[in-house]
Amino acid sequence: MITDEAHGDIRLLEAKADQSIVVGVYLAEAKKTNNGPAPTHFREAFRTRGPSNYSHGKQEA
Amino acid sequence: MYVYNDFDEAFVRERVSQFRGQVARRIDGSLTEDEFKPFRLMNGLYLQLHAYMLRVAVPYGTLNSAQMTQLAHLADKYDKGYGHFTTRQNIQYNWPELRDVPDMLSDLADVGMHAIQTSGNTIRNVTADHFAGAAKDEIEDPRPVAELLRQWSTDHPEFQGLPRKFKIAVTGCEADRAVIRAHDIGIQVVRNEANEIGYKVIVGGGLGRTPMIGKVLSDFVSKADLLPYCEAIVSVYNLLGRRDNKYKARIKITLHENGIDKIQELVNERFEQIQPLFGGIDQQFLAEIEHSFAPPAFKVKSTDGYDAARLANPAFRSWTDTNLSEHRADGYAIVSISIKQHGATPGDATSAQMRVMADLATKYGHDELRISHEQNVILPHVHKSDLLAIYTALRDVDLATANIGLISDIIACPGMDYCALATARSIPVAKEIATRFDELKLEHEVGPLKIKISGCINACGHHHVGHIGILGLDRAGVENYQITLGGDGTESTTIGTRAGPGFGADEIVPAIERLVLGYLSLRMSKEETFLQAYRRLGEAPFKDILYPEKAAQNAA
Ligand code: SF4
Repeated sequence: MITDEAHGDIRLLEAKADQSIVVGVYLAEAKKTNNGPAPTHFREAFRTRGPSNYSHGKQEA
Repeated sequence: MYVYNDFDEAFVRERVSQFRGQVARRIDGSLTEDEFKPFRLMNGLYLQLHAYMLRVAVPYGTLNSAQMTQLAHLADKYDKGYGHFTTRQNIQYNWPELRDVPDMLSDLADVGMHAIQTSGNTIRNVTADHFAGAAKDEIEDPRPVAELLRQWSTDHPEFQGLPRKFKIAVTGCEADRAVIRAHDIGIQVVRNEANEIGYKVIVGGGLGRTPMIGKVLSDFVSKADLLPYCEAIVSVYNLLGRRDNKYKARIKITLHENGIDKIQELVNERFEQIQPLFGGIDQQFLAEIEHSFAPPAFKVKSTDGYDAARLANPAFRSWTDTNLSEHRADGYAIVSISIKQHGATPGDATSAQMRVMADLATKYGHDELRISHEQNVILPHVHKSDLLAIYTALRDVDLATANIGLISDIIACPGMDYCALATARSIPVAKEIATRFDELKLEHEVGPLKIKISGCINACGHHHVGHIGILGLDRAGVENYQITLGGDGTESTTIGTRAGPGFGADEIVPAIERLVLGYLSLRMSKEETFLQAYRRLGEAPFKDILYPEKAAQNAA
C-alpha cells in the first residue's frame, strides 16, 4: 500500500517493467485492514478472488 | 457445409505459425506487451480480469460434429473444461495460458476453424439466422452469402484498420432471428416483383452507448451486386467514419451525422467504380460455396412413435412444446438445446455436454450444429422419430431444460465476473432470476419473455432489445442495475425505454419478480405476451409496479 503519489508512480513504472510476471498493471485504491491492504472497489475485490460463478482463479488456490 | 479449400487451409496455418513466433518472442522478452498486443488481438486473444481469453469464431454459427468435438477437446486440454457461447455466435475460453494459445489455434485449424478477426477494428465474424437452411419461412439459405462475406472480409487489405469494429449479420427470411437491424450491415434475402432473389441491405444499426436501429440503404441488391455493394459501404465508412472519438466511430454515427441520402450517394458512386473490377469472380466463388451448402438428404419416415411418446411422457411433451421449431422438411423439427439450465451460467457448456451434442448431431442431425446469438445450441435437422432418443441423451447431461424463449432463457454477457470493461456483474443476476422463477413454477404460465443482461454500456448482452433489459452499472462504487422495457430484437426491432432509477444488487431480482407478477395481473388473457401487454398499455402501469412508492405518492 502506497500513500505517496510520487512513490505510486514509480512503483507503477517498476511493475510495468516486470513484463514476464504481470501485464495490464494499474494503481488501485486500497484501505488498511487488519489483514493488510484491501481494495475499496468491488472490481478489484473480485480480482483478488476470481469469478463468482465458479471457484476458479485466485480463490481456487 | 463449407469445407476449407487449400487456400483457406494454407492461410490459417500460416497465421498460426506467425502467431507462434510472436508468442515465443513475447515470452522470451523480445516483444513488450505493448508491442505484442496488436498481434494477439489480431488472433482473438484478449486480456480479461483474471486471465487471457481466446475468442474463437464460429462462422455464421455453423459447426459440424468434428468441430464441436474439437471445441470440447480445447476446453479439456487448455482450459477448465468448459467454454462460453456468446451473442455473436463465438465461443470464448476464459483461462488459456499464453504459451498454449498457438497450439489451441493449431488444433482449431485441424478442423477448419480460427480466431482471426474476432477482435480489432476489422470486419468481425459474420453472423446469421441460427435456423438457416432449416427454417420453414426461409426464402434462401443465407449462409453461402455469409461465407462469401467471410472469405472476402478475412485479411481484406483495405479493411484491417477501420475506424471501429464492423459487424455483419445475414438472414434468409422476413422473420429476423439474427437481429440484423442492430448490426453495422444487416442483410435480408428478399424477392423482387420479378420473383428474383436479392438482398435488402440495412446499415447503421447498433446497440452500445448510442443504440440505433439500422436504416434501409437499398431495398433490393441483386445477387451479383451484393459483394461489391458491401465493399462500397465499408469503403465509404472507412473514409468517412470518425477516428477522432472512439464513441463516435461506428457507422451508425457516420450515418446519423451525414444522413442516409449522402451515404447512399457515396455508396452508389463507389459501387459504380468498383463493381466492374469484380468481373464475376465472386459469383464463381459463390456458386461453389452454394454447392457445399446443399441441403442434406432428408429421410421419409413415420412420426407415429414420436406422437405416442409425447402422449406418454409429460416431461418430454413439455420439452417438445418449448424447444422445437418448424422445419421446412416434412417430419423434421429444429431442436433448440437450452444452455440455460436454471441456476447455471447462460451460454456455458462443459466439454462433456459439447461431446454429447456433437454425438447427437452425428447420429441424428445430419452432422450439423448451430450456435444461436441467444447462447443456445441448435440441432437444425432432426427427424421427429429421433426426438425421444435425443431428449433422453440430453437429459443425462443436464441439457434438456424446457425453457426456450421463456423467462429463464436469458442472454447474459460475461460481465464483471470476467470482462475487463464491465461496470457490474451480469451472470449472478441471470442465475438468480432463473432460479427464482423455477422456484415459483411460473415460467410456463408467464410465457414468451426475453430478458437480456449486459454488464456495461457496450451492450454485448443486447439489453436494449430485451422485452426486459437489464444494464449493470457502477453507481458510486456499488453495483446498480437499470431496467429497460419494451425492447424487441426481431423484424419489429425496438430499443427499450429506461424505466427509471436503477436497483441495487439485492433489489434487482425482486424488482423483476414484481414486474412479471404485475404483468400477469395486467394481461388480457394468457395469450397476451409481456411485450404485447406492454405495447397495449404503455410504460405507466409497469413503472408503477416497479416503483410502488412513487406510484403511491402520485396517487396521494
Ligand atoms: S457488455 Fe460490457 S461487460 Fe458485458 S461483455 Fe460487453 S463489454 Fe463486457
